[in-house]
Amino acid sequence: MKAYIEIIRNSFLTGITYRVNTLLRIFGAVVSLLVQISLWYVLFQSKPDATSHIGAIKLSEMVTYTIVSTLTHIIISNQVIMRLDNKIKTGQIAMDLIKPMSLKAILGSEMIGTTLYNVIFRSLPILLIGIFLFSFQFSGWLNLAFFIIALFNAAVIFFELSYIVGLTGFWYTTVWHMGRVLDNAIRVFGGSFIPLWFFPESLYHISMFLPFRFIYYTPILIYIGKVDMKGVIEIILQQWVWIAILIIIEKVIWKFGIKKLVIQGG
Amino acid sequence: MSIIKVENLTKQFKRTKRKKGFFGAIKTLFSNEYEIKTAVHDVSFSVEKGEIVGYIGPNGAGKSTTIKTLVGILVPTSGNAEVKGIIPYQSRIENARNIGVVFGQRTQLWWDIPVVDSINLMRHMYKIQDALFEENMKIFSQVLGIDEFINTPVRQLSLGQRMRADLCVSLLHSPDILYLDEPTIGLDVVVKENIRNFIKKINKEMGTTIVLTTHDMDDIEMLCHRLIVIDKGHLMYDGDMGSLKAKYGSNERLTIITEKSDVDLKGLLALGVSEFKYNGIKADIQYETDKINAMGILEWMMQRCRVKDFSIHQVNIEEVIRKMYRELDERSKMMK
Repeated sequence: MKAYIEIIRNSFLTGITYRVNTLLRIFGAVVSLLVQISLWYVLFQSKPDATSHIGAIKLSEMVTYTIVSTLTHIIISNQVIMRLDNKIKTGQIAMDLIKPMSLKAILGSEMIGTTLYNVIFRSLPILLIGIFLFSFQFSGWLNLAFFIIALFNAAVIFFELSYIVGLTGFWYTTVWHMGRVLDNAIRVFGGSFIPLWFFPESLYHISMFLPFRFIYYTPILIYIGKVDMKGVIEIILQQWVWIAILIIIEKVIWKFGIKKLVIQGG
Repeated sequence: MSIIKVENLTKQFKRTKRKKGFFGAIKTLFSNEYEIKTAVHDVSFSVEKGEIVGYIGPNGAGKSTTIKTLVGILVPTSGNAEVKGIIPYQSRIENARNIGVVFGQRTQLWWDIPVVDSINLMRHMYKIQDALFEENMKIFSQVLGIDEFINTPVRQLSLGQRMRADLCVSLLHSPDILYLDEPTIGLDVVVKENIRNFIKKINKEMGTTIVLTTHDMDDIEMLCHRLIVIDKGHLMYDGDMGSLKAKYGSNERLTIITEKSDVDLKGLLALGVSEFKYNGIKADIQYETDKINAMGILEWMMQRCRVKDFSIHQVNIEEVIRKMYRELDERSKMMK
């Protein structure tokens, strides 16, 4: 247990080593948030609300959605694919595999450390901007509590997806491009920029069969209060089902992949 | 009881056949052709507890592949390996507790943060008892001088410091077996010496079994009780240093400086000299010690010209290995 804490601590410390990097990333996130919100202001210009699959959507709800989505992105994002890609390509993965700890536990702990750093140094500025510059809605403690549970599950789902994609590097050596594919799939079907409620019927149906909407769309629905209690429980249960499915897939891939692994270099 | 057992180990890699040139590279994208490369072929050996074994061979001989199988990160194509009764590639994590590994070209330290943070992580990862931890840290500070740079981020360390720190973290849990893959690569003479002494000390005081791969023949001469030589995946030699020298190194070299003369040294060939070079002043003569000795050659020379100076070069392991590699190379060329 203490080993996990040490890894979390070390990766947190690694994060704060590069101060300029931290500042620039905060700046980048703020700019991206401003662009998205301005876009929604323009789109909503003449109308009080917009029609969607789940009823009328107000501008203030859309702004809140965008802010929560940006925060979610900062909190759940991980560098698992980039890290694995790099480790496999350079052979550095050997150094993780000689430790009495599973690779997944090492990567998972590293991710928690980075997340901790992100929550403290990157999400706070966004939250402050949301509260003071825009009409960021606080929608009650109960919603917040369920949102946090759903957000945790979302982070696990995203981690599992990244880990699975990363493990395919055992066959293909380099996987960062697949990471881009995954990112884009999540961007579209997860609803990180455009909520699924604005999707055309066909795309909306496709997204129902994919795990991606459980990363952004459904947790944010819970926060904004667009689902009732029954819906909330359903979402969380479905998240768990997806986590179970992804863990099974990951175990199978690991079992075959580890035999394929070629440690590159000397 | 052998602590490491390797039986008929074979590892093959499959890789895409690459075609030459730009269009070849494009063709490669769509082709399904593979070639099989055998990195290790039917290798068997065993290592006893407390031994220091030098595992050597030319570049690309299959040394690292063997080590990687023994630490559990490569699964052999056929054959078995057993380390302390555990099959490493089946119980990788269990095996990891018994071993320490240093790959000279890589580091297991956290790059951006001070050494001490990596040390603390290892302490908890291997669940090292406080007493053992403090005892080991005391030894490492004394011998490796870890204290001097324990609070420096790893990326700011010199290569020598980094290697010392890497040795430290891989030995913190007092492993039974230590694998060293080129531990002295790129280091200066003083640091090399320091690290060799440390390895010796660890072996003597803790009884750690050490498997060492290296290209530095001084490492071998000063550390290893036993040598295993591998080339192109095949085991070539397994035994102590003395017999290897006897087998490949019956040559000695004699350098003689003479006053200018035009003696033809061809006459020496009949006496047991295997090779010579002479430019009228400096003669470089190689001979086999069981046929002729330095005295014999000197007497022969002195009868024919004025000898000003001479020196005898004992066979050292470097020459033995060089000769051996060359013979291996020639043998494989002949087979083709």
